[in-house]
Amino acid sequence: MPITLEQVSFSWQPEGVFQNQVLNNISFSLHEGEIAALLGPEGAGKTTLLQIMAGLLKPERGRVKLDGRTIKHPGGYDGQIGMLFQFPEQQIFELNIYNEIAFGPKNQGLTGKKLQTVVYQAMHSVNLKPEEFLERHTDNISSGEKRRVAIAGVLAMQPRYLLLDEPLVGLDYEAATAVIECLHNINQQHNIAMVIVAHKPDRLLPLFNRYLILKSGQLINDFSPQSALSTAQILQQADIDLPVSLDLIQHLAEAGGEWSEITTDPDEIYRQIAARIRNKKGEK
Amino acid sequence: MGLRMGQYLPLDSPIHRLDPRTKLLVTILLGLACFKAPYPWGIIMVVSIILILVTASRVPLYHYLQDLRPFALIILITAAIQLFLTPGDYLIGYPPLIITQQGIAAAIALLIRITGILILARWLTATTRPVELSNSLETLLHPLKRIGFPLHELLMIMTLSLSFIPLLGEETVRIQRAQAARGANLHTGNLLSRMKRIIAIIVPLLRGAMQRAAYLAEAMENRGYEAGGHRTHLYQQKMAISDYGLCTAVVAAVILIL
Repeated sequence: MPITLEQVSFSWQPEGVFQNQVLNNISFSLHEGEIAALLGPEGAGKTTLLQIMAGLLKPERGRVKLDGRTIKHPGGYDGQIGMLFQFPEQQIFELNIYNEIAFGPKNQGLTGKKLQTVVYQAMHSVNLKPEEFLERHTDNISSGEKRRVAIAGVLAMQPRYLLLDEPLVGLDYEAATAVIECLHNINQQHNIAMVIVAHKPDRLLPLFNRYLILKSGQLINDFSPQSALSTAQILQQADIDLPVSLDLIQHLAEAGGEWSEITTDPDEIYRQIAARIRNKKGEK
Repeated sequence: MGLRMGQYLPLDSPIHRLDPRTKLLVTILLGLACFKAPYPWGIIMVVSIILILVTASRVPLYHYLQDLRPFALIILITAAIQLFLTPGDYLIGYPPLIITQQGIAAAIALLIRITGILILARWLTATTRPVELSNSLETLLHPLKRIGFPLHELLMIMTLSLSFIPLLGEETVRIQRAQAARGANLHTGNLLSRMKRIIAIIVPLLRGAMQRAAYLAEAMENRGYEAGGHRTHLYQQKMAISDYGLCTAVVAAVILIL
């Protein structure tokens, strides 16, 4: 069963001269297994929308439902919706990694062997070896590892939906690669649906099978990517800065040639371009 | 985010256009008058002046009242103490809780005095940027520098502290929500378990605040800030006719009231 948003609106100051309408009449459903990109310019309401979906903010109008029941508590029912804020490593407070990851499940009432099992499973999901990391101090790991610890902390609550606000921001190439791999694995192994907010989604493009475009608090587009070119055109129409690979394909299409069949995976785009250059050289 | 308590509200109003020194002076004078004004006519006059200033600021009254909410309990408790513990002509009640005529008057007076002062303070912060406030304090207290008082440094600390308060508020809300997403509900359970959960908020908050303070100090030093150095201001404060007019009117009104 999906998370369903029904005509959700939200404003920080509902009335008066400082009224700040953030979201306006948003409706969509997120189904299990989907990975949706939530894109939009600064101030479009992306983070607020995630917080409403996670039950952390109450919509001013409309409803958010999980399995047909209106969400009234953070995390939905039994922590089924996990949310990861920007820079989640800044919210780490326990001294060792085990306790940090166990914080959520402990709040769910898990203890003993069950608790240990979910913590180990979560660590495996994010490629952190328990035997190496379990007792490590939370200050003595890299920022990429901290990010994965934070993701593990949410996964340990065994959510069916994961909402991520800029999961790659501030990470170097290798740490970002590790996080992308871990998100891919989580989705494949546990069929967890995700909504990912990203300003520069280049490296996340292969993950997305759906795009939600927000602009000035309104959902102006909701589509599944058919090709790199069509995705680039839709994003450009919505005034969103194009990821480098999509920008490149857009320019190449403008210069001529048939580029409409290539998928949004940047590696695939670069492979295709390289292949065509090679063919061109061969012709000469 | 929504509006934060004590936040500067950028509007175009005659009050916003006033020199910050005028607003600071008016706040101090009316604050004193609010505390010392005789009951009931003196207080009524002070409240009337405050209401005129509030209206002229174009900030809706309910924003002022919203910011009073955190103080509501303290104000009510203080008024209740006045109501029940002021000796005088018996009106109603049984010992030890006796309401007297003087008690009612004292409670109403105190209620109005505290509310008036809080609204006045909010009027100042809603219409004046913290930096302007700090600069005007520096100008008004300038003579202290002659006796070696580290005025600029203390005002810099004050300005930075003021700008940190809303940031810390935002950070607290963010961490609270992040931990709530992990099932840390601060509003349920017994006192001990609630206190344990507060650690999940306090630790990252303090760590973040210290880190932010260190970054800020480094950034200031990198831009040539040096404690004790001679400083000038890019924008010089200038008193206009409206500033002199308001100052004169308020000084006259306060003398009349007291």
